[in-house]
Amino acid sequence: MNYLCHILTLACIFSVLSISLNLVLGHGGVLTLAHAALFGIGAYSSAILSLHFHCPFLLGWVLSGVICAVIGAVIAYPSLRIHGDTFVVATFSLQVIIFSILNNWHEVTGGPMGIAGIQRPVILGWRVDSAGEFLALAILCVCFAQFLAGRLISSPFGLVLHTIREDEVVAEVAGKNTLRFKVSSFAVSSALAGAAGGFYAHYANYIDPTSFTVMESIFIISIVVIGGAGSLWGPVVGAVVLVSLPELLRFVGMPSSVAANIRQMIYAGALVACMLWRPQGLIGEFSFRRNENS
Amino acid sequence: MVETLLETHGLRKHFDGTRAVDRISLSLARASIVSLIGPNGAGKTTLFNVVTGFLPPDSGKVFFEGRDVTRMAAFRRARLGIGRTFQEMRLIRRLSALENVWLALPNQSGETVIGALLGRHKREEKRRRAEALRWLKYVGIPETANQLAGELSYGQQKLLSVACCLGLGAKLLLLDEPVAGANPALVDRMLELLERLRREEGKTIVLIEHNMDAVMQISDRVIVMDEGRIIADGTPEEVRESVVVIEAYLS
Amino acid sequence: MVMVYGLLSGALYALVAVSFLLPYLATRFFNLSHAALFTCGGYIAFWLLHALHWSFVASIALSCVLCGILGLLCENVIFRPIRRRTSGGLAPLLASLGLYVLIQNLISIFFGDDTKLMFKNASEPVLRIIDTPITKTHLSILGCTSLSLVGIWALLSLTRLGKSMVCMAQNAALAEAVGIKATVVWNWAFFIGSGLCGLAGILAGTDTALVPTMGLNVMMMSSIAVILGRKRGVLSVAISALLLAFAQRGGAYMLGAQWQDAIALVVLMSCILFMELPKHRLENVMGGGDA
Repeated sequence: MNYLCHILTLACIFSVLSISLNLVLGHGGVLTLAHAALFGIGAYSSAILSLHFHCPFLLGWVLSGVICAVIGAVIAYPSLRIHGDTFVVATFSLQVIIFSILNNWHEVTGGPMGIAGIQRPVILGWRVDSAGEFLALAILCVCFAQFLAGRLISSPFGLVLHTIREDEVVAEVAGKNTLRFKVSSFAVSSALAGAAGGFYAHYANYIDPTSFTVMESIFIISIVVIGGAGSLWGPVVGAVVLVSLPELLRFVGMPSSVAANIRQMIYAGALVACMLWRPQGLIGEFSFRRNENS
Repeated sequence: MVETLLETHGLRKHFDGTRAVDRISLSLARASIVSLIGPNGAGKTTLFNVVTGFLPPDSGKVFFEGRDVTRMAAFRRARLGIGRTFQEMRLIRRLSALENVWLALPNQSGETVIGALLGRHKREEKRRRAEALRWLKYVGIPETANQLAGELSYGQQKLLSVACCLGLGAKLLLLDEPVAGANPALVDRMLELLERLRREEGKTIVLIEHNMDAVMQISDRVIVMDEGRIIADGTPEEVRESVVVIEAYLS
Repeated sequence: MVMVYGLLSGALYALVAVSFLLPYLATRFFNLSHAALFTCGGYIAFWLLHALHWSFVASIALSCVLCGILGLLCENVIFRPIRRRTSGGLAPLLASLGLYVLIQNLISIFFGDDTKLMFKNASEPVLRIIDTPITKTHLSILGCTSLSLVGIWALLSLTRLGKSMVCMAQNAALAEAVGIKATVVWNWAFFIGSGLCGLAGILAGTDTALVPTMGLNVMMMSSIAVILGRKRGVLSVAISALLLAFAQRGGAYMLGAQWQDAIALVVLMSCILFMELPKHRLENVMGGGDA
């Protein structure tokens, strides 16, 4: 039972991550490889705030979300003026830089040893302790993230975001400050990723840089795409599928030495297959067929 | 109220050595229809791009309603009231005709993150919808409101592009080949629409067109460009008789 | 010392960057799985050398050819169909990400995650320049990369095939009209590019060790070099790669080896931002206009 809760909680964490990435990638049409880095910043900020500054969990959590939003906006502002490949490479570099900082800044982040002994969260008197309680909190988070994303997308903000994805020129001709839209969606996305990080830190009690590498970024991207980029529930479906599927391997008796490899190959293979045969993902509609101009 | 809507002084733009726009200075009055004609490669679309802010000029200035907009970003100029359509018809095919026009409506409170999250736009929704529909009606395609833009006929798409400019509240409409490839019925509809816009709404319209009949029929003024320069500028009759123009077209 | 090691890694980055440039020129596709071929090359040569006991030269040759074929296969079986079915360039990019992860893990499964050495004995120092030992390996790396770079330059400037590649990069439609067969050019570009990348991997493996993740770091550096230099040609890409390597080594020297990636990246990110910013973005979108 505990094991099931654990898997579902992980699925929830990745749901929040993919819902947030979906804002930028699925609805905004912008590929970023730095999402895991923002996840990491959220995790580390939350951990450091509660361990070193003795911040109450809720406050630290919100603060780490804000920190990530600010960092996300700061990164996005100059970078989003560059397009396409350059932006992808820039986010790739960013991911590596942040990983490098997390891995090498021993005094603050503990370097490769990470941070251990992160306390259990206490929210307004409720001490979240058991697997079931964590799962409940996680599900709440997913609902919140989904609500946020859903609201944004179904509003005029979402309409403009979609337009920018399809044809940025049209948005400009309609008088929209496309940079502002892209930066704000990036900021919101980063905030949510940071929140997921904060949750993860207090759930796992121990964080180290290896959870926040570019491979994790690619994993989150796979979830979004395979679930259905640009759709409302695609990211959640993708998270549930891609988090629980590799767990089934345990029951098949896979030797542990290759388990991690096989897990990565599963989602990577699914990503390639998806692009080849079903670009809209499991339940999506946006199949990366950009606006064709006559 | 400033009488001259648009003014350019000595605009220059070159690409890899060729002068696409070479010292163009012109001024456009309100409530007029001007046609911009000339052989291919004369620099007409480039001029549009410079005026709307999609291409920075090498030198020269652009003034809109007396304001220097030379350094202004494209979207800001759109907000000031410069609307444009494209030769290759840029519409969002995935969205409905109504949504395409809705997009252009200015000052929407749901377009900021906070506004969207708080749901402020819900109050305005009915009004916005009515407004967008009004423009669709004005150009004559109200029945297409809920159809996807990608499914509309060629003529309907052309009219939709104009509706979007109107939704924006454009005072100056730069239309790039609005009746290219259109059947005579559409041409008439479009010309009628443009004439109405000038008369009833006081819009200034600049068309790039190759359809000489349309040009002669509707324009108050015709500007002829060749190799980046203005070689003739006057009423349709004056330009038609002009030797210079005939030579440019024949050579 | 910074200069020497910088030159070495710079040479490798340059080779990878230029090999990346070739298929990019042909298809405008930023293939992130190119890095996988780097790793592949090294490991295939390793396997041929140690498992099948071939001579080193033969291993290199066959490894390069195999990498070339692999790259070609990927393009034909995966990327081209994807490009046909979607538009906007995002889909092939995503697929290339997935492909990279797949290949890296396959290598990890077959060869294990431990570092492997191409040669059991370290190479003997042959020269000393300002008390930095330079081994025979270093010299051969420099030699090979220089030869390859010259070779590519010759290919692009002198041969018909190469000129077609450049032509297609600038205007694909025009190139087709003039009679250049796109698919043939693409295939060659991928074959040669992939093969050279494999060569770079082998060379890197002889100097340092082979690890399944070695492609990632190189890929990042090379892609930045490509971005910096692609508008101005092969030479500028190579030079960017060299500068990158120097920045990296310089950073390592001044702040410690663990920061070297971060330093180099920060420096180069700023370069990118300053260079790309003034360029008006809509020139990509609008293409200048015609009428």
